[in-house]
Amino acid sequence: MTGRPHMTLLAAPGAGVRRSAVWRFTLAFTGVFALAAALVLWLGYGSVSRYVERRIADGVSTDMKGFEDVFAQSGRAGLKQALEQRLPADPNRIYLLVDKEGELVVGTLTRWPNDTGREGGAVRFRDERGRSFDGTLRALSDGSTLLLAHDRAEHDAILKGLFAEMALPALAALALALLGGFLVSRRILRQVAALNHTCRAVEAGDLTARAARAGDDDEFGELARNVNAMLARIDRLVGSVQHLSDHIAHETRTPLARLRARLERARAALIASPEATAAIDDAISETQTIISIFAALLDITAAEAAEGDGRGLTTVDLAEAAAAVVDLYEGVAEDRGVTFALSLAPAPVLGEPMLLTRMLANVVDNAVKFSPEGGVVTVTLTAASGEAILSIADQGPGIAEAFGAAAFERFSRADSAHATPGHGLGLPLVRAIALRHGMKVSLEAARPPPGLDVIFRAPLAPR
Amino acid sequence: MTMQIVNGKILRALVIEDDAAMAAHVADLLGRNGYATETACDGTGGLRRAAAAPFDLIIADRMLPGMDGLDIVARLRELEVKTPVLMLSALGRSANKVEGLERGADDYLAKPFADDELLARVRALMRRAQGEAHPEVMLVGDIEIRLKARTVHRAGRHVPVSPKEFALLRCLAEHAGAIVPRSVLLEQVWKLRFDPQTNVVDVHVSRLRSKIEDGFDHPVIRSVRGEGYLLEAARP
Repeated sequence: MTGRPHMTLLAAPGAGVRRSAVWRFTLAFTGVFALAAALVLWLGYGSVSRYVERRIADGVSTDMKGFEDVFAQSGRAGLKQALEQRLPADPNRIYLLVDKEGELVVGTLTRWPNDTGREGGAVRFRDERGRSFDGTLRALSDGSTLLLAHDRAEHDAILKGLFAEMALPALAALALALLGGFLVSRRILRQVAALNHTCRAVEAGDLTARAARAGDDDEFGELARNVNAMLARIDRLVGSVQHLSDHIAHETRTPLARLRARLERARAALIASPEATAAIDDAISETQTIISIFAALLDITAAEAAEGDGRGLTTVDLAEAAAAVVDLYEGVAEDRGVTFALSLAPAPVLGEPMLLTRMLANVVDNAVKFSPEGGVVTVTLTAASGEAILSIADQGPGIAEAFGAAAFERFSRADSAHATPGHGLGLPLVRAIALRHGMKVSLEAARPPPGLDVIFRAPLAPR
Repeated sequence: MTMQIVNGKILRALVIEDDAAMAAHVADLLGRNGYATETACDGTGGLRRAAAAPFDLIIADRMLPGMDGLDIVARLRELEVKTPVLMLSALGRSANKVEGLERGADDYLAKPFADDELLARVRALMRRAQGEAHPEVMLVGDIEIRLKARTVHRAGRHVPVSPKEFALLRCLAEHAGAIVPRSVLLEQVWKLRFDPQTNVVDVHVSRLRSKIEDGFDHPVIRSVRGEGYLLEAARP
């Protein structure tokens, strides 16, 4: 069962939601947006604040001009009258007219604000209740002074109202940024996840898997195209290697088959001559040797090519496979004075039954072959925490540590093995089959020495 | 050699093989064993002959000009031609064998092959095709194999054998009088489709042999040319 791309979007296998790039990208996107919005709001606030202030000042100065005109036309009495008409109009406004001596003529304040001078121009002051005012003074030609002022709270209230109205749209914009960031990064990462999905499928052995959306005219399309081109190349290379090896096999087997057929016919015709028959038997056996080496090489290559490919595997109990192999070799072992000691726990693994049996047969064959007379081949299989550990240990000469890893190379044979028949293809095949099943195989010194312990570690099949 | 005659009919075999030397060899081999044999040298011609005439056995190569031998089998099975097919192939990997059997071939033999192995496999195929009911008792000379009870008697004397030895003797008895190569024994008795390097089969046969021959006058199991074993058929 493979995960669909969307299933792995927020949480790629092996990474918690926490580590998904979607959230990181979304938060980064939203953060940048919020900063930009805050900057715009800050600049806007300053500009609106100045604008409001100027509009109020303009209002005051228009008023002042009007009152000056009244004074010019009708004198102080006319001005007083005009001011009195305006007095109750607005509690946030201050109108104050004092005479040359500073005595109140008319106004919303009972006296002249303490710290305010009588020179003309802009003033700022507080009244007895602590309210803050901005105002304008005008010295009139008869020595009296006119003060027009307005409560700064008016200005603040306008700004406050303005921002109260902006708060909701701002929050909405932030939410939109969050949603937009999420959608954009999800879209981007969905494509990354799809690519990852394709790569995993290929890694699992499906060389025909291809990335989707390769037709898109953007960087993702290009990436998908590049990945697909790369996969096509790998597929072609693997295909040509397999094609070549099949052809080599065919081209070599065909003449060998003819050779063998001719030898068989010759033998059939030569019944009368035992010597010639024996010679032909030897020749036939040589063709068999050639073909065996060739078949083993092809099998190794095939098992290597199938590495990681889960298709066609069934659940196999390693214990049963090992017991069957031991049963097969029991007779050979007995003839050589070798006995088996078995301890097998059930260990289901995913595999090709025939390949696994062949792998075990190779190792058991070696163990029996290299055992001294009276030796014991110990086969131990344990299964714990998702892993099966199979050990096949003999009491033979073991292998030199220096030879170790080379034992898995094709055609390499330990010095100690030259007296024993073989072509050095057994262990390479063992390793290729083990890797094909996701197993690890290692050669260790038997405990107690001497001897060789071949240890397989296999993932247990899921229940 | 007498003709192979079943139910009053001579058995007919078709060999589909593009390699003339191999085709002649297989045809000759079958001819010597009593089959009336015909050959076809390419896939389409082979398929046409196989579909048109009532053959009892088809031996087909895999890599043929015009067609994969497996496609011939698949096509024949579509046409409901049930003639047993033995695939011959230079593709000798175990995966190829599995593929061959999955796609409708009845048996699969890698080239090069021993003549005895081809014959043993043909015999097994024919026996299966003729649907020969398993007898209760198999009699080979003075050996009596009781299949249900899984016991062996020779000249009236009980011979105790292990289950594997019983399977081995039974397989040899089914081919009585003919050579059974080791590979066929491995496949029939141990269900193994590969060649263990050590001759494990020999050890098992020699044990069976000692049980069935010790204390009797003449041997019944012969080793033939180091390739296989033969259970002597009843003497005339």
